[in-house]
Amino acid sequence: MAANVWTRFIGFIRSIFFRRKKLRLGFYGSTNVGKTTLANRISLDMVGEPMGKVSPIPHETRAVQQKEHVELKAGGYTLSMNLLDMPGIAVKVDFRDFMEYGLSKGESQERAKEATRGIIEAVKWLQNVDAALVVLDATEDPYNQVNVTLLGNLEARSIPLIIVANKIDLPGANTARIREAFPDYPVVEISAMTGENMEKLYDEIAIRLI
Amino acid sequence: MHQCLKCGRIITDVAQIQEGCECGSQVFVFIKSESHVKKRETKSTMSLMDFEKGKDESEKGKDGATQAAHAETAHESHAEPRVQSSPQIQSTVPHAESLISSPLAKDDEKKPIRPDSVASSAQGDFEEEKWDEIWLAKGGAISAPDAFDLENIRQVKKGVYEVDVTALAEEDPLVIKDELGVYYVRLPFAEIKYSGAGAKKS
Repeated sequence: MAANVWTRFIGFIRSIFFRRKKLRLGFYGSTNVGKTTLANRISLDMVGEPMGKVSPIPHETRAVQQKEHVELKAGGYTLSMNLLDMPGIAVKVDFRDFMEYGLSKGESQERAKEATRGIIEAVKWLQNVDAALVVLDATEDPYNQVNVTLLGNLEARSIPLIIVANKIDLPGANTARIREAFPDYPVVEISAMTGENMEKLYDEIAIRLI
Repeated sequence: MHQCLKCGRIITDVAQIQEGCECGSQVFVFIKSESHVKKRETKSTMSLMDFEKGKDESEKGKDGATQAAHAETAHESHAEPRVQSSPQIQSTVPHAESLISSPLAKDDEKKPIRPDSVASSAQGDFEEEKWDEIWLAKGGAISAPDAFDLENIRQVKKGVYEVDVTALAEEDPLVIKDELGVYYVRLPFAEIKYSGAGAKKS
């Protein structure tokens, strides 16, 4: 009886002092690396509905998309998360790139403006995320300005992160190159499109973030 | 290169432009091409010739037998070109003004882009000739902060930029919008320090 009361008391204390808020998990990375596809995959797996629209045109996600109350259960623990799908980060937004996809000049200019606003928003959100999935396209050179500065900034803010090497289903995917470029960070190879290795990613999230 | 409006000296050193010309003037005309130089030379030759003429006269005066008598005249004639050159410089000022506006891309751009901040003050059809006048009339005239949208720095014309100083003082990303409407973002991120390929510095 006394032990039961003691256990409940300890549980009460822990619930007060060690209660984790909903973990805000940000999806960061360059444009068209598969952030929204990954966010949709996780959201579908855990909530049963997607988060945002996917498009081959860069900067499809131009505002932060949020999915609340996403619960990841692993090893008897439950991690409650808010998923935050960020706009793709780029160092140059040229409206003429959008015109190549058939958009009019006016539409392209407006899209460029919204995309730039999205980048600013994503950068500002860095102050408010608890953890980050940094999504990289495994078919491309990982050592670029966006990835390097993004990882450096997350590290400077002591934000735990996992590098997600996406698109391993595509020919030319080279995950070893990503591991070599960023040897100090955990890397999980997945295909958000096919769902390959998603369980491995969930395990890594549970290990790193719970 | 730049040319002194007063003495016509060609100056290529930026530091000297900041310090001012040897003649004491701090008013320079930007000259873009050789043709401009030639045009400017023909226009400034007159004043330079007068200056040299005055100089020669003063030197001749020094060599003359009545050196003491001419000394005063020489002094006056030496100073005279500076005074005389003023109306001539003034007469060339309209041309100089046209030259001042030309480096601000009149010749560089076929289709001038009207900045929003200035556009608000320019009613009716936009006249490129009045653009600099309008811009300068606005205070030298950096836009009001609310004239900026996303960008911290806006290239309104070639060589003319508007800067949102308030935004730059904050930790926002540096966003530059060029005259075509292309955005450039400088991420305010800390970068990982690498000592070699893949090796992170401690």
